[in-house]
Amino acid sequence: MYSRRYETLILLAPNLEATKLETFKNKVEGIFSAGEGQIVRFEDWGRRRLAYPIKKELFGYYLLYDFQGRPKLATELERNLKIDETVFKYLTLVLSKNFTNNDLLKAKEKLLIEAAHREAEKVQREVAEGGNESENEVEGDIETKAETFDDEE
Amino acid sequence: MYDNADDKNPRHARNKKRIFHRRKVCRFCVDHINDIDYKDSRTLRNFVTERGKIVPRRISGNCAKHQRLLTQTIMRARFMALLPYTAMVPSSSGPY
Repeated sequence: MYSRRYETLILLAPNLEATKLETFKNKVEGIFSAGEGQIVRFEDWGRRRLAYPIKKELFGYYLLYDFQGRPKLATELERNLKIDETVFKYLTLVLSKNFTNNDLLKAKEKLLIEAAHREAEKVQREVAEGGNESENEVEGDIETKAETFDDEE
Repeated sequence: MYDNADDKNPRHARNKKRIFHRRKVCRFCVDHINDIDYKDSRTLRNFVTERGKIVPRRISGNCAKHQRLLTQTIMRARFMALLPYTAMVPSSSGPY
């Protein structure tokens, strides 16, 4: 049986209580495990300003699920989202039509590497900024700063 | 503006106008981007006007392939309220 890679962005009502949000996430994860799907990536965007009001709300809560599964799982997820009243909108895209378990592992690995890179960049930037603000840093910081400069060259 | 008789003829006047050509290159072709992410509203905002309209190809310089892709992507972003369908005009009645 073939698997696909899907990406679903869910727009929820903005003022959900933390517990309700948690139960919602658990519900979605339950659907994934019941449908033998695997989450590749999950992102909680949090509360964001909407480009236009939806149901008279100016904000919305976004959740992003990037997952592997069969078409049945995607329709099952969408069916559940349709029923749930706290869901304002959702959009599912097919990212890959043939997504094997091997691809899944590769994709996860790639995400981990990207996250590590981003983390490293963040640290570098923080160190660089800290160095600009105050000259009298602890010795350790100066060393790492020197390293980052070496890297840049 | 019209100092000789020929210029009064609108056809001649039009011919006299200089058309400047500046070769525009498709940004996505240059960067070798073949899938535009609808969640990346910051990039997409470069291709909509302040009012929220999609910038035409003759202005943005995109190639046909990428413009089609971009249009589709902007429509998705609009659906998920990441981009506006139209700019909000402040008014005394209602949120619009």
